[in-house]
Amino acid sequence: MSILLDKRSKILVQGITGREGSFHTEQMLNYPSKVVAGVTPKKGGTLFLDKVPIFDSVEEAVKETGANVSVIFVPPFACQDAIFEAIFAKIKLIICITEGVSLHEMADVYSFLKTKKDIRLIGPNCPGVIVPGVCKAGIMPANAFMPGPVGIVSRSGTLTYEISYLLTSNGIGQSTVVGIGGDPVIGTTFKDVLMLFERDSQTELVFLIGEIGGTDEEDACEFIREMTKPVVAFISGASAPEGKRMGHAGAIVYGKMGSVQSKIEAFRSAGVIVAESIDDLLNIAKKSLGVVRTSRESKQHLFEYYISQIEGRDFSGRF
Amino acid sequence: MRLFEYQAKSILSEYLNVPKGVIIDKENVDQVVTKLNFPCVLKAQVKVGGRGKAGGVLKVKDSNELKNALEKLFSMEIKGEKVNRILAEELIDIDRELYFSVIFYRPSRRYMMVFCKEGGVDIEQLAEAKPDAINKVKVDPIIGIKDFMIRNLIKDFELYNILNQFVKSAYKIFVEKDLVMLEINPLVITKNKEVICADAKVEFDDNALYKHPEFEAFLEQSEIEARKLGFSFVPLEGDIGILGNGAGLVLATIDSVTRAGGKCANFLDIGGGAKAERVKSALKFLVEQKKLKGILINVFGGITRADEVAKGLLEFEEEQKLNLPVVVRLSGTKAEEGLEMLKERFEIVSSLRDGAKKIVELVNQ
Repeated sequence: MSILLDKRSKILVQGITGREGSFHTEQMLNYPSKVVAGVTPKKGGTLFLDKVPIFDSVEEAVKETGANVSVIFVPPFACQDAIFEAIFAKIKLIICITEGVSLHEMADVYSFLKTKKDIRLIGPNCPGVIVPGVCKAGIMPANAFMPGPVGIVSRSGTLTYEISYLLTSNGIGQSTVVGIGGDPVIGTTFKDVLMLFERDSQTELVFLIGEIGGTDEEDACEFIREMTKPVVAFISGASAPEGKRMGHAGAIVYGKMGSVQSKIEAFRSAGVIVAESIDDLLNIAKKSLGVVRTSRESKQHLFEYYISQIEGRDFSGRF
Repeated sequence: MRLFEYQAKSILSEYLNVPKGVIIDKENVDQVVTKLNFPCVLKAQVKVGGRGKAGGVLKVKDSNELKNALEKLFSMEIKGEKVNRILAEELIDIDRELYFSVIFYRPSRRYMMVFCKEGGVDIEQLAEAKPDAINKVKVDPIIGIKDFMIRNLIKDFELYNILNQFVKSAYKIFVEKDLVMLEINPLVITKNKEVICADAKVEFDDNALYKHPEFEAFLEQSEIEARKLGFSFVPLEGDIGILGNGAGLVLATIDSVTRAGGKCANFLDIGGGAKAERVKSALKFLVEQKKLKGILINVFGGITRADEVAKGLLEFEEEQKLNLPVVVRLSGTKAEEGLEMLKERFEIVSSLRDGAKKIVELVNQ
């Protein structure tokens, strides 16, 4: 099993003839994912790589091919339009790769999507979703992944590849890897993906890869408390200098929320193990998967085990 | 992008009242001075907070005081920012000072309006001491602003009548101009019941720049340069140059080098889908910034192709011989091709940890 995608997923690519769209559609086809259609207005009726039909509209593409997942590669100025086109064509899973979509345009999309419970948007500015060995809807390099028990959800694209590759080269595979994107407004959050991993029979351990800024990590903690599966987190940017502050208006609204410290504290109080480095993630995965497999103990036992593993380490100077 | 006060006010003046003012820079002092009416107030233009406390705002009575005040302000540095421009404004007849802001509220992906009857003070301190004095109302972008929201925000019917139109106009600017933050502190009500934005802080959404050619004039030269080249760059204190792709990975690379005992000289994200040309110009930009002792390149190709990165690196090296250690770590899309191109000329490592260790070792030799 997997989350979001499976072997029946039929992928549509919006912006299939652009530079990024064409390159990555070919990579997806080689994975092999089922890319059944492309959309580029005015290029309807032609074929991509002599095999994938191109349509003028998403509606037409869905009617002809039954596509149920759309991957969007259109430039930022056309991106809101492309997302709405996919929503109105009733695509159930919309994955937006485009980087640089304006905040207010995404805020409108987000607000509208709140009224459409059966449609899920991932991104924008994300690497997409991959179910190793089964289906790839996005831009991740295939060789970094292999099938296995670790579910990964991340705000950072390249860091996801880095961590997956480290696991893969150490023989630990992934169930599904989801890049949710690092923009201020994204469709699917950590919490949404964690809920899916909790129900997924293939996922035994969840990696949550966050970064400084925003409060999605803090927000996810409420749900993590209720999860039966262990969650391990890594936050990048711990040594980065303080970024541009939001000024007074931001400070009085957000308080300390969003800082590395606030994220770490929220994780700790929800029972999440916070990895010190990428290598630390690997070590924790090795140990905890061993425990999960051999004893199938309760969540409480697992956490006690983790704590025993990290005892004696100095947390105070870590961040 | 954060704007200077005078830029923010030029944007606001389309729908709102701002004091009459002129901008003075070192070159135009003589021409501008003749146009001033006295008394007036001089305000140093910097993009950091706490300007008033630092002495960056001066009241002047006449042209004698003006010369000294200008000299004093132009020689100031406020929280590391030099004062290159000064805004000279008419004095306004203040009856009440209030606080108003609209920001993008990330946790609920909505806009939030913030109002306080006590403006002109240190609002952060007030928020801590008297949190109840600060009213907040969320606005769904699709519904927009309604009168009941403004009533809930102001919580005072007399003020509501005076401010209703102001709040609507401010919200309109926030949306139309693609702002992330708009803060008016103090928001002044004059004795004639006129509503005037005495100070303004505005942050603009960079992703929307293509829709607003009027903002392009506000970009600083260095910002234009980096934008043209297509990467983001933040200088840091250390001596190890960092080049990577994707903000998260670059941050993690800096974390790794720091942990290995090194000090990074910068944050440089070449962005998604970088071609050889961009990699080359990013490297050029990097070595021009400061004296480096080594460079660590960490690229994990996804939408970026590692062979393009390798090509850019080779082209750069051919033009400009590098006499410092360069450690390269390439993975992902087209990494094999990229590594094949680089293996004889550069130190290649296979993991981030090895790369961080190696560069720190080489730099310390």
